[in-house]
Amino acid sequence: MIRCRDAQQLIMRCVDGALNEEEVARLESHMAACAACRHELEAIQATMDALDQWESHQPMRGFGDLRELVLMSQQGTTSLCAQTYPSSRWLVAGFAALSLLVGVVAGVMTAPSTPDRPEVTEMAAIQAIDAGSFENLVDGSLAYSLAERTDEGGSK
Amino acid sequence: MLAVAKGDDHAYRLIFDRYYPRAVNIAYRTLGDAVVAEDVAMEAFLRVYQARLRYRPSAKFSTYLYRIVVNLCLNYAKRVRMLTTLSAEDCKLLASDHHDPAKCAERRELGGIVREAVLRLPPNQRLALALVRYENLSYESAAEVMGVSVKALESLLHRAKQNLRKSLKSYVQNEDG
Repeated sequence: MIRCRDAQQLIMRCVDGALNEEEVARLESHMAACAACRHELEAIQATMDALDQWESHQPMRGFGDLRELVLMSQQGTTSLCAQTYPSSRWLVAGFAALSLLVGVVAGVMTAPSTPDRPEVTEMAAIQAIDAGSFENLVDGSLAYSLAERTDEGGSK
Repeated sequence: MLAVAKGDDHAYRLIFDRYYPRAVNIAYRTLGDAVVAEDVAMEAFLRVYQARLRYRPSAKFSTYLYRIVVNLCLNYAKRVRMLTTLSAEDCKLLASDHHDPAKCAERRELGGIVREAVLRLPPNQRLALALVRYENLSYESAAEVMGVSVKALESLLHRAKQNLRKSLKSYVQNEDG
């Protein structure tokens, strides 16, 4: 009688219907006495049966599409593989990258230049606070604190 | 094909009608994308047509055609690096479902789970499975299409089945836990 290891090899081929009569007889003889290998065959068979759950694809294209493709190739257009699937995706990606680049360059070129921050002095801050409106008061407070920082920085 | 070489378009149409769906499905089982699979099959038929004058009937036409399909699939996959088609998120989802089949059944159908499991196989195992399991080619024919020995093909199938058994363990009857 064959060993379990040999039975495993036969089991794998058995589920593909690839055993000859003599191999089938050897496997059956082994499995009659080996529960583990019986279980193994059932498990592999169930796995293979499950594969049928993934349905096949029904083609959408026909001979007319092929005829067009042949005409295109005769006119010197590149083949479908080069033309359709890789390059169409690369074209989209390339177009997106180009658009991004153009956007960045245009943004840089058309961006208004940042106005220079007026130099803040303690006197200007006091004048702003003295002006009295709430808006001026807030501006003045900000200006004053900036002026203080500037002074501190200068004194270090 | 000899008639096609003499300019018989009707003969080529007969060949197309017979083999195009099979070529599409070999590519579909290998690449997992129906649109790309049809592109690949169309390209294979275009190449067959372009080479019709050089065709020599040294092998079965189906072997000749499928070999072109297989090469196109491998080239395509190499170019777009899509052989590991599942995202990390998909894998995590699959792994979490693995312990809770009931929950999984609510979210996904078994067909989708099988598809994911097959697409996680290495490309050669996937091709071997597509040819033998799905297209019912003999070991000898499948080995010839793939350009490997019958022993090598058996080894690929053996590993594919072991991998699938692990992946699908929780979804398949006759499997413990």
